[in-house]
Amino acid sequence: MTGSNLKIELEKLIGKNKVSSDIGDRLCFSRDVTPICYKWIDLYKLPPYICDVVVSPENTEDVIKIVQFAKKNKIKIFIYGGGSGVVGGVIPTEGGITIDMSRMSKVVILDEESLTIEVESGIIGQNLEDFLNKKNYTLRHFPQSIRSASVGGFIATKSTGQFSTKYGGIENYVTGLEVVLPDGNVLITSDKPRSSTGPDINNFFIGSEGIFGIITRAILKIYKMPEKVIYHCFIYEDIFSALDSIREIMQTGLKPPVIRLYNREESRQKFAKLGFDYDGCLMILCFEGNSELVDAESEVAQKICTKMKAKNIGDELGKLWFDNRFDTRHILEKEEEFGGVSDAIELAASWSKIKKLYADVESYFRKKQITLASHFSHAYTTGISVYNIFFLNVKDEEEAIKRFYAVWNDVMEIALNNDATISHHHGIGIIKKDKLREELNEGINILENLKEKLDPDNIINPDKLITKMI
Amino acid sequence: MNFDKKSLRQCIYCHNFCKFSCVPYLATKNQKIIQTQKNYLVYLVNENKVKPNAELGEAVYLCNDCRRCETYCIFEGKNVLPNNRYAKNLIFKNMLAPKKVYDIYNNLLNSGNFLGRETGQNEIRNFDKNKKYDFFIYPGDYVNMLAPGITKSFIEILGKLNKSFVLCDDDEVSDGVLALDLGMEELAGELMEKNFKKITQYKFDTLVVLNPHSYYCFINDYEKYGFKFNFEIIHYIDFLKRYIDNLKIKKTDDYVKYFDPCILSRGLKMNESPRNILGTLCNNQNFDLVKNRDESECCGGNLSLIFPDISRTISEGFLNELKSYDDKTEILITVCPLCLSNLSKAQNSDRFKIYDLIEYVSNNIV
Ligand SMILES: Cc1cc2nc3c(=O)[nH]c(=O)nc-3n(C[C@H](O)[C@H](O)[C@H](O)COP(=O)(O)OP(=O)(O)OC[C@H]3O[C@@H](n4cnc5c(N)ncnc54)[C@H](O)[C@@H]3O)c2cc1C
Ligand code: SF4
Ligand code: SF4
Repeated sequence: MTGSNLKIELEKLIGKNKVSSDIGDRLCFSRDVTPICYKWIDLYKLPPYICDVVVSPENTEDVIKIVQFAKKNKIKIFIYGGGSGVVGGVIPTEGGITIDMSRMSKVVILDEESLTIEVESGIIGQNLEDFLNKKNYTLRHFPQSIRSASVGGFIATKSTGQFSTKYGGIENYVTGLEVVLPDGNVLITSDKPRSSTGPDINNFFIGSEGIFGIITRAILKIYKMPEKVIYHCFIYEDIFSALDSIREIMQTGLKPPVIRLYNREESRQKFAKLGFDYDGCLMILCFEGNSELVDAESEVAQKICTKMKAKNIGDELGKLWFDNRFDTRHILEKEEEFGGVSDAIELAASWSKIKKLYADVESYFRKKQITLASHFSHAYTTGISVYNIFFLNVKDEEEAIKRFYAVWNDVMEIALNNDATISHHHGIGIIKKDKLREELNEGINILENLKEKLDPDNIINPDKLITKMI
Repeated sequence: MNFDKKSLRQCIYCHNFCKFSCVPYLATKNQKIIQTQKNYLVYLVNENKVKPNAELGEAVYLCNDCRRCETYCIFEGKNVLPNNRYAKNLIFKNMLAPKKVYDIYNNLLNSGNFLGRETGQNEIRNFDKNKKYDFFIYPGDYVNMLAPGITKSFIEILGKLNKSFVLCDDDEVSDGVLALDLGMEELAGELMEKNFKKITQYKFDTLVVLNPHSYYCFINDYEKYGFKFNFEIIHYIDFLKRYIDNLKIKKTDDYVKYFDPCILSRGLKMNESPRNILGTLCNNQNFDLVKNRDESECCGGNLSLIFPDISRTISEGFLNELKSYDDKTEILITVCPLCLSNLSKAQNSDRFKIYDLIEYVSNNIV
């Protein structure tokens, strides 16, 4: 079916103002913020993958009609939440229909007794947070991309937030979902605090990157505004004793929402402009919630840190980090350069493996003479995530894309050799697919079988997470 | 308007953290309004990779220059206004703007105001060109056309203070700010010249501008177009700061919230003075809405002139949301004729009374 026929047919189904074949819309909905999308701007006249039509459903019924139509006519569907993904999840690798979820952004029910909120999945994270704040509640799921990402995207990519160490990732928030399945049927899971009724169906969709269906609604946990928030900052002589402190903090049972540890170079580079003037590794710790609990947790944490010979430098840098937490200029300036590319590789490993993983990654970038900035965040009782931002500069955009893939492949190899995960929270998309099999082993077959059962014609989000490489 | 490649590219190669803040985008979900996408398309047009079209034209004009995205911009927002003006200029020249934009152009060109209203009834000739006045009052066409009560209140206050003035209202020529905001560069220059000539015929100490958008234009754009004034130019907020203590005010127990107009908060960075003035009038001193100062919300702005339905959706949305979480506030105060007009039109109950600050001051003088 050609683009204009597709438009006419879809308009008949869901209405005129919900379908667009305008080249502007098609281009906007065919890119996210994956570095390759940036590189394509100067490399090609137009990007290599452009959807044929953009549809903007206003309710679940519209989504059902679109899915049934696509299934019947064997047309591919791609799903666009906020477009903040960094692994190419929205790229329409086979043309077809892109579903723009943004019009499905209503708050459905705020349940103040159970402390949950039901929303349509297209709502932008920050708009939801603002809605809650006006009523003295908060989500506390704060990915750095909260100002552009959608709730559907959070769930589809299994996102995590900067306050995750206390509140967990999005998987700890979702208590119910509404999903339009690839056959047009609708799955609704109602919110229960817990149930022992087989595997948790919600978990098939959390992190599914859209391949099992389109998430249209979600019920999420919310919190009351914390009574007290305090920051502590410490300087460590070496990164490994700081990691030991974090492990002890976590295994003692403390629940800091934020715990961030920067290596020596990153501490200097990132915080010098905010007044950091030390030679050492900066750790930022935050506690929040009930005032008495916060004081008690702070006291125990401070004892743990000073026992490891850390220097307590007060709260100022912690507050400054919070105020500047959306500053990603250093990455973007590199992306904009001709032949420049920058990306974040977010790995995670258990405590017994993290130090070697960190050392191996660092040594790889040193040998390749590629600039690297690393920090640890998102801590658990069993391990921690390490965030590695690299900055490359080569002769042109084509070479930049090649080197980008090469770095990713090498670092994923290092991760797998260290029994670490290749993605702590950004997902797989089209960038990391060929290494997923190595991480999941037999698990990939389960995902592939499930996909085949649910979507035998491979209609929804093809080429993402598990299916063929582009 | 020059093509600033660097400034456009900054928005294109961006993580788009301003997206959630764009109220026209939230009201329409037209993705092409948000800075990263709009500038991406404008860039592709400039590189001859795509042709501009009316769809892009509509999106470009759905941006009302509220500059909310500036507050959350990763790059401090310096590119927002130049990029907006560049895009509008490009679309306007290519005859791809919405029809209402060209209607406004013709009205400004032929009648000197955006409504095309016949003027010249109350000529400036009522005032003596040889006499020296304390003030020249420049209401600005948003005030004249949409909220003339602001001028009335200001004159009442001048009366109480025994100050002399020249008034330029019914025959006033638009200051040029709307033309500039809508990408009509040349016309803006012509309007500025007319204004310059008209105002400089009179002798006075200070020009008081009532519309903050006009004030912004007088202090930021006139000189760039070669028109340098050699007298003091102030906004009425500065006037009130100087004279509020000379007015006899009766304090009120009203629950008042201040709706920061975009042009005051983000354009002129005048955040505290309106609050301080309110502080002299009210016993209850908390004037802040949840989103205030440079984060303040949107009334619809100049969309009411081009896309009235969308503008109304925005202002109604703001009032309805406020009602849903605030059961105390009785009065909303603003300092902008557009905010006053848009919010007043959107009222579907008498839950809030809405005034411009100058009206509220005038009402509370004994
Ligand atoms: C600067 C920056 C900082 C970031 N920080 C974080 C961070 O702190 N934590 C974190 O976890 N991530 C982070 N990310 C990554 C990204 O923002 C997240 O993956 C986010 O969850 C994506 O949401 P989105 O709505 O933008 O999804 P999109 O980019 O629109 O889509 C992502 C994937 O989800 C699918 N999808 C979207 N909506 C739906 C739906 N309703 N149903 C089914 N599938 C859907 C898409 O098809 C695609 O495969 C960051 C990204 C950037 C650029
Ligand atoms: S205005 Fe700022 S944050 Fe928004 S797209 Fe442009 S550069 Fe990015
Ligand atoms: S200036 Fe206002 S309307 Fe325009 S893009 Fe920015 S936030 Fe949106």
